Amino acid sequence: MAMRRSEKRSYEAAARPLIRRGPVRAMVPVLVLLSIVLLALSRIDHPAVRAIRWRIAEVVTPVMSAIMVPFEPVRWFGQHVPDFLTTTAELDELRAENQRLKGWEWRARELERQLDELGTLTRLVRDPATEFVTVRVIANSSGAFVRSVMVNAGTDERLEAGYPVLSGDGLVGRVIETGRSAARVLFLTDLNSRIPVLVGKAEARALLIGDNGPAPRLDYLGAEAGVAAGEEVTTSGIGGMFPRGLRIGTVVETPRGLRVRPHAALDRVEYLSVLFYKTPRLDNDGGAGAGLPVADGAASVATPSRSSPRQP
Amino acid sequence: MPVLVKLVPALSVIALTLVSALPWGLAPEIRFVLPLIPVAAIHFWVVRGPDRVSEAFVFLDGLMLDVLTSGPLGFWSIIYLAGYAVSLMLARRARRVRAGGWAALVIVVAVLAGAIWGVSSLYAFEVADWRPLVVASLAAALSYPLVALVMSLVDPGDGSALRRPPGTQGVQGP
Repeated sequence: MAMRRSEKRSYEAAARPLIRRGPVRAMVPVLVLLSIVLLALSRIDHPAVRAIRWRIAEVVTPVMSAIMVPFEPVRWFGQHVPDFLTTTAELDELRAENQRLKGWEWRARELERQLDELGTLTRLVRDPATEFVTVRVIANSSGAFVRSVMVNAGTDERLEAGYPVLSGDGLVGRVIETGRSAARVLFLTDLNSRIPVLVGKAEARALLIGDNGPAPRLDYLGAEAGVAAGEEVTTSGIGGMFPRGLRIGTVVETPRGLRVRPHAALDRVEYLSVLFYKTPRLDNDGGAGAGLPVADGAASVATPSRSSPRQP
Repeated sequence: MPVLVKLVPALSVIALTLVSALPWGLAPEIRFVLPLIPVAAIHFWVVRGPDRVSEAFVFLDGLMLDVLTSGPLGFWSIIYLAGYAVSLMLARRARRVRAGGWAALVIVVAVLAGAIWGVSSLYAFEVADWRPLVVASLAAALSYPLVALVMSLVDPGDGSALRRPPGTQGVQGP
């Protein structure tokens, strides 16, 4: 709205003392300095910063859950509009895929039966059954630094740091921090994510390294591995952080080397499953393996011993 | 009631900050625009009156966003404080002309894009990608009329502390 010349002059006269209030505006550099200190403490991952973070998160989590309710229709619409546009073509694809999968289902059942028989014959030690809990994403990272989400469950729901997190399509990442009612899930695309994987039918070992891009890179892959684009990548279970065989994605060839396109749509995850998977380790009760180091982020409680033979 | 009226700017900025942290399903490159929406709101209130939002509130709001987005503490506080300071400097000029608030926000967002890029690069010790920032800055600048409209609707007060001195008459909005 345009102002008359006289009004402008009087406005300026009124504004000057307010805008140039020395003592109040002197707070700005002080607060900037405080921010820089916090930023430096965050950089070195100081425990005090972690404590502040979770104290605020505990307060804000219920508010976030509540505020999501009225926005749910908008979010749903925004997330599904692209789906509506491609529904017809996708339906045809899904029909064809369904036909193929019916054949695979029969083969899988047959193989499962054979595996069961062989396992019984050889007294194979089976992995313990893993429980899981389904959680909801309540906040998303939106900066240059991290690829993570906050979920609406924490230690009250028995969540612990290190637990693998999956969506319906495959591995998403792992829990890295827990509060009472919230936890932070680090995506496999994050700069700090390192996951031992198996690539392709040859099961070539490699390390999946996040770099905050949409497709993490495959590293430590032998030149003789013969990996080609389109091959499946799964967790190897080495290191004990993740169980073996969780689907991750497919290999894609880029000018910057081999990368993995995750099956899970990390930008659109809404509900996630957290596996109560604890790193296999020897019981710390004075046995031969007492005091052995476990992988970083491992759960503190010992899992059922895997050294005892399974009863046939 | 007067207390509520005074709280309207802070509450609206907090609401936008919480909304900007919700999982909207946007790609990371586009998602950068979300934390800049509260900047538009802070700018709106600063242009309306320099004491409608305080610097301490802006700092805490940035801190809250850092927690919600799992970023390093202090990052969005610095950015929001920088935006607040630039908005303060431009507020008087912004109110002189039609759409001055919008024009000033373009400058604020451009300064902040540079600040975000600089602080990100320094923090990570590597040159940050500037392309998502350009897209986010453009989107934030374009979103201002909508933010300003919503803020004008929720502001039940007289609009501006600048109009309070006797013998002066300001305008209702930026």
